[in-house]
Amino acid sequence: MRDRSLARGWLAAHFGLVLLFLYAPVAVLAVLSFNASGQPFAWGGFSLRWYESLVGNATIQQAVVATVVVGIVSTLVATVIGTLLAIGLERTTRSSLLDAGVFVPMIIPDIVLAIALLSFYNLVFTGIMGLGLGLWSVILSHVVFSIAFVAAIVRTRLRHFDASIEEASMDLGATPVRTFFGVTLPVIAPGVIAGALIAFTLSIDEFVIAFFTAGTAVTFPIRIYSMIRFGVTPEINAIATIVVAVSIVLVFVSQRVGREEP
Amino acid sequence: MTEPIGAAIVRVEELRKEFGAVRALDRVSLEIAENEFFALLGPSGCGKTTLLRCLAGFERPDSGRILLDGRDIARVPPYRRPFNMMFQSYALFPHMSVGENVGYGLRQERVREPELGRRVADALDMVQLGGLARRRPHQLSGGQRQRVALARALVKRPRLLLLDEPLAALDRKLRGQMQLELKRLQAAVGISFVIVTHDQEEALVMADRAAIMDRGRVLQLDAPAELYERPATRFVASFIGESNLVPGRISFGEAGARLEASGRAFALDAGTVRSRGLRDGDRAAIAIRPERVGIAAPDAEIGEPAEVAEVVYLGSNRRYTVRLAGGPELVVRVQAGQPGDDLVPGDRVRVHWPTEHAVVVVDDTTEEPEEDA
Repeated sequence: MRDRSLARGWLAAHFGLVLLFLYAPVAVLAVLSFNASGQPFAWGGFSLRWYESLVGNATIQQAVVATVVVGIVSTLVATVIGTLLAIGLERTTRSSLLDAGVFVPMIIPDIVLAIALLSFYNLVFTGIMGLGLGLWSVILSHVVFSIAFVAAIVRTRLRHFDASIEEASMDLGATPVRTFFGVTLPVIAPGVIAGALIAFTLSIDEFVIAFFTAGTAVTFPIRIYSMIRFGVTPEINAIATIVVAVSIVLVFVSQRVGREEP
Repeated sequence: MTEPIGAAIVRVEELRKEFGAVRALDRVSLEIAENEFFALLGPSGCGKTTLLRCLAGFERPDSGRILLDGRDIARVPPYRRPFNMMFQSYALFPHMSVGENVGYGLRQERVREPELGRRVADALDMVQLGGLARRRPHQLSGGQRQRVALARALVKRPRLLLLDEPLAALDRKLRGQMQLELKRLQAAVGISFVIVTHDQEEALVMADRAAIMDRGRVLQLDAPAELYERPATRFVASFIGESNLVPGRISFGEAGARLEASGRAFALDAGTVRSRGLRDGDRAAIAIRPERVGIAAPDAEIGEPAEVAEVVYLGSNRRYTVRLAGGPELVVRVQAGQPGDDLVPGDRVRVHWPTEHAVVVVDDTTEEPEEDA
């Protein structure tokens, strides 16, 4: 009994240290964002003034709007393509080479992908078609890596999919299209929603690729980066705290939705 | 082969289907009649499921026709066929309630309330699941899920109900109940049922007629009693029940048709020999059911001398293995209370059987077995 409680104590200590390691910096940031003094080493009392000054900051608001637009559009496009890709891969191929090809964008370093996309866009869109880069090219870039995440998450859901329910649907008179929307999609919906939430989360705080491919457009992470060049202002703490909160909520929701049913 | 009982609903003609090098269906022709319980019976890989899936529309035959009311539907997609299927896995929609599952087919036909609700309720009552319309499939027992699958397939009143190993997932006792229940249900709704099974007992209990399949071919299509009493081939005789099989060659002489096997001759019914298409000198076998072999005292003037080699006590009957002079062994079943129910190994007896129960069968088991489908 004693050994057991001792082991438990060690485990709890270990768990606590890991949590501390992961979240202490974020916690400090969050605390500082409510610091009235604005100085890292002097607590001037609790205050929402930095959040208030954000609300009055038009350039930040524009950047937030740009990021939300990029996030929503790229998520919608990537979710549709990624879901179809997952279904196609699961049903028609056993090729691990093809699998790898689809999932590589998940693990390619962002900086490499960013440079590749920038070179490609400069060559094709700017060079040949004469288009200036902007939010649309950020959207396109985010679609590129989001597809892989959506496809990977939807596929785990498809592993447990009983294909005979699609046959049952057609047997009962539903066309393939009605079967897809009436049976296939509702059954894999938790995976699709979880994939979309991950894609959205990744998009809204993605910096490197956006920075390279945005042209003159400014997304929220780019705005923060440009502010931080003049030192960490208390407003940045407030922004970062909001982003962390939103990310946590999205990941939490996607975990809940993606959980397997009993 | 016997004629269908009523008018044919579906006529399958010369159906062929290959999967790579495997011949799943090899020129299969048969008819399914109005209001009959039809079984496709055979070992796994015999092509029975492929035939069912061709009927449902999930497989497209390489050649041949499936005629419904004189129209070839072999290439009509499943959602335009008036057939419904009950799947082996039941294939219930997990995101819908029981009632929504059952109503799904009707909603595809744009049946509206209140008719929709009434027909769903009727279908659920029919399978005694009246109160469970709001449950989800995962809240039901295996037997209940099976009933939902049945109600869902019957609610559209299809011309054919296709059942793919419907009882395979149930335990033995429940399976026995469901066999009788399915049979009663078929008679009550008047829809022709086509059931796929590898369980010969299941086919014998339920079917009006059964097609015995092996390696993509239909070997025999008959009523259960005919299949059991008058098997056409050696495969059928050994697949359904237990049979004593003695291989040999046909010979026609003054004494009538005989099967000559290892120095002895068995008398045969000449009409049956001819109806099987067997000629003088052909390889064939006789099949004798163990319960048709009679046992007499060693000094009786009937049958052949034999020695009891093995005795297995089975409660209501005893199963003997007896050795005839010259080597061949026969299995004999004797009901408790009948003469000869108390033999022990080493006893000398005489065994005999009526000529009509020594059924000549085509010897189809010596071909090289092909790969299983």
